[in-house]
Amino acid sequence: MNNKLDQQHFSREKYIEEFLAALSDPIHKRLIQAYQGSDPVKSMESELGKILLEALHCED
Amino acid sequence: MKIKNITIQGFRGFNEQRNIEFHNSLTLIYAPNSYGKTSISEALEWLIYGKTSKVEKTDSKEEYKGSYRNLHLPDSLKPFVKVIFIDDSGNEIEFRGDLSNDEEIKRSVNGQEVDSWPLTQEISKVPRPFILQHALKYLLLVRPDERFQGFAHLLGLEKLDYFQRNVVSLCTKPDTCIPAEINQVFKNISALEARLESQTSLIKIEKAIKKGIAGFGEAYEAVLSECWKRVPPETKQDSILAQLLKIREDAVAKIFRGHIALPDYSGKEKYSNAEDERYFFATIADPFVKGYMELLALATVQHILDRAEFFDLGIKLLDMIPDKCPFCGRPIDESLTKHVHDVHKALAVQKGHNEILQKQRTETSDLIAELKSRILAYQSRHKNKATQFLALEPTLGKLKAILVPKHQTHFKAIETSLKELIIVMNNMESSYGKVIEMIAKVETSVSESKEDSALVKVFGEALTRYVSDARSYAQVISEKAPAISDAAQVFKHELDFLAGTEDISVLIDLLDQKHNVKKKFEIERILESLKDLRKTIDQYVANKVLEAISNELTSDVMEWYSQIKTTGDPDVHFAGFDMERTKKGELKARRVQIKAKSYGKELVSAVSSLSESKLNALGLCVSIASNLKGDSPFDFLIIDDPIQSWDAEHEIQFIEVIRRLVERGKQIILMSHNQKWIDMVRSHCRTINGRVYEIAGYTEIGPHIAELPWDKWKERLKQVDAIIKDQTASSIKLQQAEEEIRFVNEELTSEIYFKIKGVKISPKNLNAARVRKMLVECGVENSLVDRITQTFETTDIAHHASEEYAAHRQRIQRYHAWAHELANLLDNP
Repeated sequence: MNNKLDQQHFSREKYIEEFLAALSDPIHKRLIQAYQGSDPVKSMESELGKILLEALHCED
Repeated sequence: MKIKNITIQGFRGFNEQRNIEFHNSLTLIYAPNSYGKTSISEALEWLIYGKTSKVEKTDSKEEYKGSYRNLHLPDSLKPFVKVIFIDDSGNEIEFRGDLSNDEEIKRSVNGQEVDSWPLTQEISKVPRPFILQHALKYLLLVRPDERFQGFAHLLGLEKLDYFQRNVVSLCTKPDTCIPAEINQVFKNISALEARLESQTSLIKIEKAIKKGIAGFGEAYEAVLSECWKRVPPETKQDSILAQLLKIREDAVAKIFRGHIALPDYSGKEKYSNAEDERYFFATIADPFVKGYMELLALATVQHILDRAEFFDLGIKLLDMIPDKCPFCGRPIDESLTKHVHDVHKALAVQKGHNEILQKQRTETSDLIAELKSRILAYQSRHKNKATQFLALEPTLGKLKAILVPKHQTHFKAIETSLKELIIVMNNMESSYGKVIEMIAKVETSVSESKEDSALVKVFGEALTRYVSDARSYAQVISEKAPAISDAAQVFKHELDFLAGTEDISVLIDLLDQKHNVKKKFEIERILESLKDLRKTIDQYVANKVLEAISNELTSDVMEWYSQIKTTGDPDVHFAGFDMERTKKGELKARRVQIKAKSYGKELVSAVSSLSESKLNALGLCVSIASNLKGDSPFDFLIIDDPIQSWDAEHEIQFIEVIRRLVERGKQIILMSHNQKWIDMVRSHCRTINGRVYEIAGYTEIGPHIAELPWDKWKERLKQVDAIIKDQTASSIKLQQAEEEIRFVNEELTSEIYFKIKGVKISPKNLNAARVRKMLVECGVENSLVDRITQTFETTDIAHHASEEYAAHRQRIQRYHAWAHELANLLDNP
């Protein structure tokens, strides 16, 4: 029984995969892909920070 | 999974340990209000989810702090809830939850600690097997968003709901995720835009800038065009900025020379400072002091080296004239010659230490040199930060004339910052001088082999003081930098105003900040796009929930709702679920609609139109329907006080619902404060032969729980009498009568045993052998014991008829008579 549960914990939620497939904007995809780990909210927020810094520092 | 039993200690209303055994189909628990009935469902809920829904839904977690632990439980005991579950294969599994001091649950399965319950489905994804009155209230009579959450909870879509809320929160409030560096860029560009707005000559640029990224190209064409107007015609395009800067500098220099700037330490500088300080203290603490002290120890061997040299010479001379002293020429004997050789050998060994001494001296000198070099760099880094700013001191009078009275605050900021900085700078310079002086002394002591332990101590103290002063200096800079930055901006604008260079200054900044202007627009576009992400997730989740509620939930709920509906009900009823829509037909986010009809006409909402009793019925049906859906690991359903605000007819209708749930394989644990209704359930579900408990009292040690017989044997016998007398009774009725006789005999045996032996044995699952043994022990006549045990032959232990079974009226009549005979013993033992 433990194995079944562990597999579910490690695999990304089905609805997130489905939602990701519905997105076309690569930035939105990155944000949703970051929604994982022990603190998905923090991970998503940190990804947005990274995206914004990349936008600031990238060369034209 | 069904529940075999539960043991509760020190949790909520339970103080002393209590155990309750559950029937695999139906268990009824009657208790007057406040007798701890709900604590049973809460204990189960807490065990499974780690929190009760009451605590989960409260706005004030503080109010519920410490509420899990029973107040009267002795300090030496720990609260726990233990449940034996029976899985689909009939195996028993013990789930135990211990309440920790920090109000968390510690889980163990069959005695082994676990992080989560080993279930085949994630429990947050399946409906909670609890139907609680307060939960129904949270489901229907709440704000739309809370109702949506309630439905998501019920449909096992909690994670989807949580996911949506988190994504929406990010999309609507991304500000907290914007790094400080970007906020600073935004602030600078916004200030530049404000200055641009005040320059009427630059209106074309302003209009283009307002278009955002779309107007960026147009804006910078206009910037260039305005620049050309202000620089000499021969200026080349790549020199425009330099030319503008020169024009401005020349103009403002007539009013003021100098710059107001006090930049804070960059991240890199802060890192370098911290690294240097770490190096200083680590070096002082270990390699330097250790090396220096070793030099001190090694210095004592110098005289040995001198002596060894003397003996080297002596041995050489002795080799030439072995029997005479090489220095005075007097004769020496063999033993003295041996002694001289031995001393020479010993000195040769000690001489090896000289090499170590030299090596150590070089290493210590290198270390001092490196330390000195880093101290110089450290000092230079700090000093350079404020050099330009401190140079303003002689010009304070001029600054005041320009800034005061209009910008008094900014002038004050400059003035006080200067004063404070001069103090901390002087402190730092002074302690720096002391450190440099000490380094010089240490260097000399090493080079002249005059090491001194006191010198090391003073050096260490000087370095500590210096770092402390440097930190104070850095702190003042960091504190003052933002105010000085603001003052510098204001001063720059005042200078431009006085020099008539405001437009040129704006153009300079627009050229200088071109990259950041573009980046600001790009970042704004990213942030703006989050609105689209929000819309997408709202629609996605709304569709998911709509799918769940309209496709299956509506028809399922309708099926159960029609079970509770009575014929006398006015035709105002629940008519299905939907999601609210906008005028354009798009699904509204997080808005579950509960539809209702009155005599065929659609009402605005069931919540506002249905009576409380109907809403109660609807809430129950939603919970039941969602619990029967999907692949839940739980085959039980806890129903707590379901019939509030119902009339007698609805109460009876709901008993049928319970019966049907049992038929569908659910293990029902039903609790109510209504004794009469519990008796009705027992009576209507007599053949289920479940378990019934009464919480007869409540004191500080907890509830007093007593198990009652499912059915009184007299009632059963009366029913059998009626069936036997009915000559038209079908074979099914006769079979039922025969089964009832078995229950009667079990209950009678249990009661006789209690009366004679004083020991209470549950009548549940007694078999022929046990009944025989108990009756014999009670001294019942053998022939009656034989006859009574004979009644067990035609039905198996589960009271089911065997394949060859055929109802036989005469046999049942005989059994019936024997049961009466046994019953008589209760009155006349």
